[in-house]
Amino acid sequence: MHTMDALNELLLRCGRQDGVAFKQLYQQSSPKLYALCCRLVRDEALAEDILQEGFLKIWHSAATYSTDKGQAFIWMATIVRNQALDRLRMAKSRPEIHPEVEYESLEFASQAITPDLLTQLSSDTQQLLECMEQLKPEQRECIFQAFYYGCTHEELAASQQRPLGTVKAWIRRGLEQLRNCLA
Amino acid sequence: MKRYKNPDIFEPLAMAYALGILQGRARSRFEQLMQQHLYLRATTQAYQQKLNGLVELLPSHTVPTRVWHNLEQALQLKPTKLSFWERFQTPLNWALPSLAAVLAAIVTALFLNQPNPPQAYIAALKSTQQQHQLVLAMAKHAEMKISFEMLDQYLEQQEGMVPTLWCISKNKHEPPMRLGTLEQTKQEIALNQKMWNSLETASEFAISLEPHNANMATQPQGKIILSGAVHPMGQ
Repeated sequence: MHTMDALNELLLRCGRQDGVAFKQLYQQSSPKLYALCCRLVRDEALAEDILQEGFLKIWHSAATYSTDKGQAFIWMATIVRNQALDRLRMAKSRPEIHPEVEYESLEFASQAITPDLLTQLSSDTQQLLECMEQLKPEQRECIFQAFYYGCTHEELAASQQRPLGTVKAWIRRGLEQLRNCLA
Repeated sequence: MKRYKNPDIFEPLAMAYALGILQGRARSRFEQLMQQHLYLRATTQAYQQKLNGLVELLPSHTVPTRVWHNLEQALQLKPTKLSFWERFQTPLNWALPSLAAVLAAIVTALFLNQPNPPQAYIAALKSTQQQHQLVLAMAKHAEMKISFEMLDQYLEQQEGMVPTLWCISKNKHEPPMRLGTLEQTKQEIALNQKMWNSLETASEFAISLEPHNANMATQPQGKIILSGAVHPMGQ
């Protein structure tokens, strides 16, 4: 069974209050979701809190999941990422990016998409990557930074050393292009 | 409000929201609109599903164990302590080709020459951790002992833990019988008559890692690292 299909099955079992399935689901999916939280909030203790809250929500909402809502992993990622974005919005000051911290790199997203990697990804993600490949490098970079680090337009303008309007236009056009490609 | 019914306007907003780039009052306003309009919620969720696939690309990050413990407590989940049989069966993977070949050869030989009662038993114990570790265990009545042969790697070691051999009966109502512990220097276990008799109904041998002081335990307490079916042999 494909890993993603196995996660779907585990999440469905969680909806029936199956604690054993929940543990397996947690073991298989939490390392990537924790990596996402670490990148978004750049604080491991806070990332742990968010992950925990996210999994509590996953457990309580699991009964509402069905496979027509998409892959379980992505459904869970949406919950956890929204938790993290909410926390970021509540924070008085946004965490700084420290390039020397290992998880700050975007190298993983820019590596070549090998056939082996493709087979591990869901079909939606494969399509998304193909669409991302068609964007200009600066558009892609901004979208990745916004997605993985929760960067605002202002932060992106600062990191790219470009005017705010330019960065906003890159993202707007990038998203338009993605929208057409994904349609 | 009508402008939000135009897909050329609300779809980019939904995408920006899903990406997290819609900030401040614009984000709050969009959230209010989503509460009111199903089509906005549905569109946003669809883009969240599409964009959040990017999480699949992330390298894994080790999660501190306390997160799971906190979840277990918060949800009052019963500790997921599986029964012995579940623990024993769950990690088994019978796909290891070398093991299959060894067993096929052994079983074929056994059926061709099997007096009654068996004078020896053999088992190929495969690692439950998918490490391609294989141990052959042979019990001989003439010697009243079980000898072990490591075919691949060293036996997994953990400080304070002792590899312990168990005989699992075909009768699932019978508890496993502890046959003894394995030592690096002496890879054999002496059998008494009761132990030998138990082999007649044995279905599996299993090796678990047990705490040093658990020599009176009547069931495996620790992790099972190797297991394999027991086959009777002729003299």
